[in-house]
Amino acid sequence: MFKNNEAEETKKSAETIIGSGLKVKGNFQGKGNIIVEGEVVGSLKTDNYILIGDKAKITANIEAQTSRIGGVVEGNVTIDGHLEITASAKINGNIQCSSLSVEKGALLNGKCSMGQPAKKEVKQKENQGQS
Amino acid sequence: MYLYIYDAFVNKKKHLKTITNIEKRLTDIGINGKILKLKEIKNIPYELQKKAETGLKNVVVVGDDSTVHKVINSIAIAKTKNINQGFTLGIIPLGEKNNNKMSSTLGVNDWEGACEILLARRTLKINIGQINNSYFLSEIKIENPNEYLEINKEYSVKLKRSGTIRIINFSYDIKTNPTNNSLDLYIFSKNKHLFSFASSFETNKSYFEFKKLNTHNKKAKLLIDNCVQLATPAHITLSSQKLSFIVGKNRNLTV
Repeated sequence: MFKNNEAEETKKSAETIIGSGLKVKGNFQGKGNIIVEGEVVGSLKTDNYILIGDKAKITANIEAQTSRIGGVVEGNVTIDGHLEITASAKINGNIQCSSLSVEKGALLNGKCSMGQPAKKEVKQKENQGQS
Repeated sequence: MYLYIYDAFVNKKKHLKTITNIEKRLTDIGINGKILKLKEIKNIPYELQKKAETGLKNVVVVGDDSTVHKVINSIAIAKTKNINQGFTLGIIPLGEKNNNKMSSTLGVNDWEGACEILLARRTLKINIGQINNSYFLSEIKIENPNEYLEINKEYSVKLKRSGTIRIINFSYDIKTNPTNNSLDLYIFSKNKHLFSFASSFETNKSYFEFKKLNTHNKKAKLLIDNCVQLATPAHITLSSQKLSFIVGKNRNLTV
């Protein structure tokens, strides 16, 4: 569960809010914070923070800077920074992140790799190597 | 040089005194100008072209939301024909408050305040939206339980429950930035509560920014700028045009 004040602050600063009455299908790409309380099928990407609410259902690969997951995710999760998985989360997919916290009760089926350079840094190094 | 465009309803008896007062006040502060009556104009873009040739810079709409909507469309069409790129628009609201939501959002609440705002001439370049072949300034409302929207040709949004869709450039009740080169999509759907009977619905808000949107439902009705109805499907985009407006200090915008 998310603290009310924190959730309100995130809502105020969110670039996109996908409410519980919606189903989004396709490739969703943003630059700001994203809040998902509804359903997403496809892919979900942002350069910032993604909050997946307790009742959200995601059938998509997720990429973000940081994230908090409380809902159901069917897909791989790639986070550059910190990933927080709360008690209500059910994740079927691989996880890659720099740091991780998992609350008691969360369900995680998949590989978890940590401490590796984040995806962006790897790309930057590859680009530097080429030039 | 100022041009005042009067809507037809302005000639009604109940507005005559107000119109006299407006004209007197405009003369007193030295910004009176030529008057065009919408009723008598057949081709507004052509009239604007004629006036532009004589050095017209300011067009002031005297009327309500529907008057502003008509004039915006004419000016936007005129701009596509390269008739004039430099009009600045002002509004003097007249009629019911409920029919003057656009002017009040821009900080112009009544005719007396409007005259002072015209004199102060604080301007703001505002985006306009396009729906099919016409333009809108403020917002589009769609009341439909089963609407399916395609956004930026990248993803689709489907409402699972009944709700209201609002496509907003600027609005009287939601503060937005109409200069940021995107339109806002708000969807207010209803959440059903299992254990409550009385107020069994609570509104659930979704929010997106976009530049292109298609509606696919064929049965829904759109309300444009609080005054014009249109049937879906519709193609809604951010127009490449911006219009300069004379705005008040107390506008309900984030800029």
